[in-house]
Amino acid sequence: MDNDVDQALVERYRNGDREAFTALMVRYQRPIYNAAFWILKSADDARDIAQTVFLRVAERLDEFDSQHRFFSWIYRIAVNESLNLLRRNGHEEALDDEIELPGHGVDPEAHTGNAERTRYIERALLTMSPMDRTVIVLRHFSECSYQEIARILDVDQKTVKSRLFEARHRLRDLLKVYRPE
Amino acid sequence: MSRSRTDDLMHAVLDGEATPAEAHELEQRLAADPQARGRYAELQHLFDGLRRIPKQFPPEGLVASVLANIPQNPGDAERGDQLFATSGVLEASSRKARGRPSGRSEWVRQVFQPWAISRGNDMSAGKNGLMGNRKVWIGGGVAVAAAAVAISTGLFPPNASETAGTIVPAARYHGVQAQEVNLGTAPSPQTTSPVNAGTIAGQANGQLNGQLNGQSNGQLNGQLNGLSNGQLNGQLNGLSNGQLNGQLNGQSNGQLNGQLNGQSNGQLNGQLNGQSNGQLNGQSNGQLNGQLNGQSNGQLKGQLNGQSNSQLNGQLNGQSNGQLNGQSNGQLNGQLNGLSNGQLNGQLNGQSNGQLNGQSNGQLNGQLNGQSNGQLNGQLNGQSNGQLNGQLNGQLNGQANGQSMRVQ
Repeated sequence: MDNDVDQALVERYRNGDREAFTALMVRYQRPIYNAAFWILKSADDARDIAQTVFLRVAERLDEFDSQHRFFSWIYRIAVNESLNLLRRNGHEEALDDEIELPGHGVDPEAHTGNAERTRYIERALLTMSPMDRTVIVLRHFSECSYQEIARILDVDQKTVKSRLFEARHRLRDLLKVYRPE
Repeated sequence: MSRSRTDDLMHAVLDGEATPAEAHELEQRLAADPQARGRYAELQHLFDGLRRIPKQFPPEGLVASVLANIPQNPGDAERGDQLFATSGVLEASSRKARGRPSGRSEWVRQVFQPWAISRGNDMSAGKNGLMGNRKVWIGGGVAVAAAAVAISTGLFPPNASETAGTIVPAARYHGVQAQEVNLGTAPSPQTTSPVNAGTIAGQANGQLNGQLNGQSNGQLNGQLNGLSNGQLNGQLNGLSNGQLNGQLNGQSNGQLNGQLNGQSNGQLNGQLNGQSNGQLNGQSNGQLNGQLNGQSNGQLKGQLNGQSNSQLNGQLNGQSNGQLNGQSNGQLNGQLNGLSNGQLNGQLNGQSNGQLNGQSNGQLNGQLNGQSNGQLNGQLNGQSNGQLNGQLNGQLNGQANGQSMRVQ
């Protein structure tokens, strides 16, 4: 995301331009929803969290320090809200076999090898711990750099590297279970 | 699990975080260590797999539901009170709602209903608020952020020194509407040059309709901006003997229909920018330069038709289904870029007596048809994880360069 565009929209909203906030939501609704979806393993929860995140942003935009990237700030809210919800729910929910992974129902490549492999990875990902999922999601789906992940999770970059390494290692092991070859 | 220096380098390189020196170091280590090469290939395979996972689409109406819960004027005082004033008419547990069958949720279906999500006044008291108790308040009594309609002439203020004849700029409208909003039609100015047809800006939580008509013997500028949580229909018609600049910007969480019609004996620049979470239909009929940009989380249909006696440049950027048709007696440049997680059909048809350049980047199905009496250059690039069909048809009397590339 272009930080200059974000900052301009933030400034416009602070000056009373409600349309600027709509533009911010349009820019971020998909990445925030995606991050929440994969952390929470639930479309319903992701929808609730995305809504909460934007309401919080609207409420707290005056507190946002323009020296920082808006991208990191909103992601941090989204990740914290998602992890808090998991904690409140006692996150050890069994994997819901009925969980919807939109896109497969009409996927024309549903029967190809790649689609099958993607499905295995999705299933394996959903059985991982919330923190493992979070770092994988931030790096691979949200395409955050080590530095951005460090800011979002409030840890140092060394910890980010370590968590990513371990999460990928565990994901690879899980894939051997889900995809016996 | 132990991490070696080689493992660290593998992850850094694949993450795009390695320095050139580190990348070089990894190359050397891999060259000397077959086991490490195997681990690296496995890791690459994992990265590829993660990259292929499709992104999810947010539910329809997410933006609208948030907008209904933030103040109309962000500068209003006591934001917290306004934001989360409890209206609770009906309380429903979303846990309970979870029992619903799969598919579109109740939440989504109600999104354009006058409801709001509420929580305690203290935003920081998350555990007791919306997410803590998983309560959704469906408030029929909520003061819905009703539609605000603001018609502005600010962007192209009429200037008496520039305007001759009878130009009547759009008046200022104020209204509070939750349903359909008709911005009306800006009267058709008819004048000598130059003239501003005016600017229409509209915002609605319901349906928004805007039409702007301009006619000028000189220069004519028109802009129509619309934002709607429901359906947005915009039409901009311009006729000029000189230069005509028309722009239509639309954003809608529902359906967005935009049409830009321009006719000019001089230069005509037309641009239609649309973003929709539902359906976007755009049509731009422009002589000379036309651009149609569309982005949609639902369905996107775009059509750009151009006709020119000199040069015609057309560009259609669309996620989903796009069609670009160009016809020129001079040079014709057409570009069609498509990206889709589902099916994408792209077709570029061009006819030129001079030069025709066509490019179509489409996942899945792409077709480029060109006919030229001069030079014809065609390129079709397709990328597909499934099936890819590419067809490039060229007919020419001069020189032809055709390339059809399949990237798997």
